[in-house]
Amino acid sequence: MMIDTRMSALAALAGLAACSQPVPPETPPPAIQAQRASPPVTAAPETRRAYFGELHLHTGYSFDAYALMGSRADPDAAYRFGRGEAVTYLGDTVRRSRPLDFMAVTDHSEYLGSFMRIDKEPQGGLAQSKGGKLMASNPLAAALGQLVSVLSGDEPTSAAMDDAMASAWKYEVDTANRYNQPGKFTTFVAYEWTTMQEGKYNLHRNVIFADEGPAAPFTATDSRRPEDLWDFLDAQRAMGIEGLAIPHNSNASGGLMFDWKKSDGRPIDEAYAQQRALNEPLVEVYQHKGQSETSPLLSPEDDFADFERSEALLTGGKGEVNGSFTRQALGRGLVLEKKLGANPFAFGFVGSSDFHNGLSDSAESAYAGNGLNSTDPQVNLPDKAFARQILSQKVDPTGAGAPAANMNRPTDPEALRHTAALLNWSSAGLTGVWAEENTRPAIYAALRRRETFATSGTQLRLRMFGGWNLPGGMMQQAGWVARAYRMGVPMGADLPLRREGNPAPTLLLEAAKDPIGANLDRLQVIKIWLDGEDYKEKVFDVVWSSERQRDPRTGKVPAVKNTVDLATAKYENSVGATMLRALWQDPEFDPAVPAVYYARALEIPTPRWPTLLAVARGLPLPEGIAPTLQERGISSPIWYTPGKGS
Amino acid sequence: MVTSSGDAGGPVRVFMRVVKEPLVHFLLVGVVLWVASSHYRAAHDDYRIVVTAQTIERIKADYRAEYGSDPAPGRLRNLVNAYVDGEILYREGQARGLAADDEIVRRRIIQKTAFMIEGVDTPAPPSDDVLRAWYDARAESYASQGKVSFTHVFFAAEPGTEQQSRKRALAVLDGLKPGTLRAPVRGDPFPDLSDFTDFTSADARRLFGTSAMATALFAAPVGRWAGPFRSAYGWHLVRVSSAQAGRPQPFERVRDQVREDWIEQARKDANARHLAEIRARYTVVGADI
Repeated sequence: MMIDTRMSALAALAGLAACSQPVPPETPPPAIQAQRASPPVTAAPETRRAYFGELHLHTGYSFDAYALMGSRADPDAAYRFGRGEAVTYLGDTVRRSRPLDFMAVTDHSEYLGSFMRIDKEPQGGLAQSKGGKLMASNPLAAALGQLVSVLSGDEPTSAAMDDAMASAWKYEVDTANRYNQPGKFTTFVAYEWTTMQEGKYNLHRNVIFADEGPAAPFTATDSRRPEDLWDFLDAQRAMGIEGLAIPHNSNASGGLMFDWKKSDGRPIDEAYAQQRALNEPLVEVYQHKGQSETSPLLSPEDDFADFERSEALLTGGKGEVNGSFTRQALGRGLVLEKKLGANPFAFGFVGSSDFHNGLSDSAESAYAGNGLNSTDPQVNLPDKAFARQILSQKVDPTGAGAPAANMNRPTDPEALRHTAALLNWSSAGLTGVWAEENTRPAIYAALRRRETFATSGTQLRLRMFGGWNLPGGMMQQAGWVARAYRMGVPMGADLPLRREGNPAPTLLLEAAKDPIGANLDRLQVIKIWLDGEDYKEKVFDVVWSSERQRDPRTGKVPAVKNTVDLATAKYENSVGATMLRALWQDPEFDPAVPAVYYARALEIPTPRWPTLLAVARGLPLPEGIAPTLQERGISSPIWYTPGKGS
Repeated sequence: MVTSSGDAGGPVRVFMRVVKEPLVHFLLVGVVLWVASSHYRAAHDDYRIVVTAQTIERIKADYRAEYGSDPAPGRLRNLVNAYVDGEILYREGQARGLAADDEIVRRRIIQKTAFMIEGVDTPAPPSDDVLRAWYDARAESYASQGKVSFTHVFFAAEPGTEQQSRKRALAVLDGLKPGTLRAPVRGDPFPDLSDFTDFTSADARRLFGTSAMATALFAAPVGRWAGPFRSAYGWHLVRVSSAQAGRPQPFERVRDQVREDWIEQARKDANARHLAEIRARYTVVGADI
């Protein structure tokens, strides 16, 4: 929130700069680059395995991370940390608890690398320009938007800034390419397009490229309309540069992320729906500023919707739940598909950190509420005084009325480092993909076909297939995955065309626990279906750990035992299951009604980060916030549309 | 009042005593220095605060960012006054040397200076001979990881079924002949593959967690069934078809890695050299640690 508070003002002003900044000439199509594509993936689909990655991370190359949060890690350090190496951070040697499989550094494209450049080259053109001196003397004011007025009026600053950003982009691309190790560690050329409508509604997107990136990123200074970003991606694709955009923090979009309207205020039409579906096949649902799956206000019947809520705007003030959550968007997508013949909200799910210190770790213990986010609990846990400050904050557990963090924000990076994150903020999320191998082509293809799942940070594995007439006992046999691919479709896809007389569709669901984490509580199916001009939703408990039985009166599966000892912040895998597997047939299927299904796997309760921090520092548990949580994963959906099918 | 003024030399003696008093010397010197430094600082703009148009614009921008609109003229005057007060306190603090004992200021300056020093010397790209010498000196750190290729049969274990699961595994192991190359159907479906090629210990930790299975795989005999070994999910029978100890890799294969490492080290060395040069100008004294 700290960042985005500033960013809002920045982005609001960025619109002004668009009028005055010279538009760079279009780069000619790089014919040679298009030929350089990596070899295609040829392995059979049943060889797909789960790989875990981070698709949203900032380093000191992001203006807010550097100027406002004192982050000094660069993308080099970020990739090295991500692949499991020890890196030096603020004088400490820190290491990720386990290596990631793939990763994208997504620095803000606006003012990319400029603030770091000022410090690194105090005699350089940018540092010596009018804007550069402002950036050096008062980075806060500069980042808050005053730069924009300087940029528009001062030719040397503007030219030096263009130069700094171009060289920073080249460095980002080169670094991503240098760390890409096919078979071991996949990286993507990427950045974040940073737009805030009216200075407060978050519409940010991370842009991920399949292989080579464009000559320059398309920034919020170029345009603040998502449609223009998609035009840019379409144009790049025509030149052989494939990419996609991933919206994040729709929970803080004030209802604009999944609105019924286009950014010009007109109703969504078919062309918009098609262009959005093509360019935005994924949405980030878990990250440290709250989850975007759903809210108890939208899903009152869902017993597990009250999870890691952050429903205020990032600039502070009350948000709007309608139009801000992905489950509802899946429903709205059905409504629009019926009306337009195209679904703008046909997306799968990913999770990431959005941390700003260049260090991505999604373990609950790696988030300790410091303003820079990731922590190595073995090394740089907040000291007792800072921990007390973090844990004694007032909490609104819904996160709905929370003020923007740090309205009285300090300007000193050292003080910022000791700025507490809100207690209702979360540890990082994570993206899982099912891919044949750990290479750019295989992982990007998985992202494209939405064969992905999002987790709240755990490395549980979740997979779902759908089809017609799938035999009842097939999941008991080794090799069922190969049959599932042959007879059905994986998550992220449309069901095959339904034939006359087919019974209700079947889903095959499998969840396996994180090998070093908590056991599983239950596996659920969430169904959303069209109901006139609106949609309905229902959560089905499909399979759960064996120590409980469904209550025949309520139809509900009782809560799993909470084994967490709040005095020691330890839990026990004495309850729950290591694996859950089930074939589920929709008991309420109506072949005339469009529907969409996704799976959700819940872990048994484990200690939440403030509990871990309090116990580690011998402090009382904070009041007003749940001491434990049920980490989880959701699969990308499978869609059913009457008369259509893959 | 009558004083004993018989002693005409009295006031003079008192005066002389005072003149000889060291405290008075000290005070006098202080006054002289204070007057001199005041004049000096006044003459050198230390007591001049210029509020530029740029400063006012910056104050307005901060206000806009916080409240969304420009400050009214009265409010702006107050903000400028606050800025001036702040500047006065800053300069007075500077003059009294308050920054010297401040850890936050110290760290900020360390950071800025470290950045200046870093990147001063960018190492020239090394020749192949240089890289080869580097590699020769560290060949063991470029050795490949040990690898195994194996197939496994899995027996799921849930809380409460631990022993039962292990017994099932042992029963199946009894019936497995050395010539049976793979037998996933004799166990439960495993939520990943049944056959793995060139599996490293990092792969094993990633899939099986920090369990016995993750290490036992690399000690298992080649060409026959072994186990059961416990993983995070249950018990496994394993048949390793080939095992390869970690071994040195030829220079050609790891040249890129070597070059990266060399450059990284050269950069670190250059930074350290640079710091050492500066350090040479300093004398460090103090108690031994």
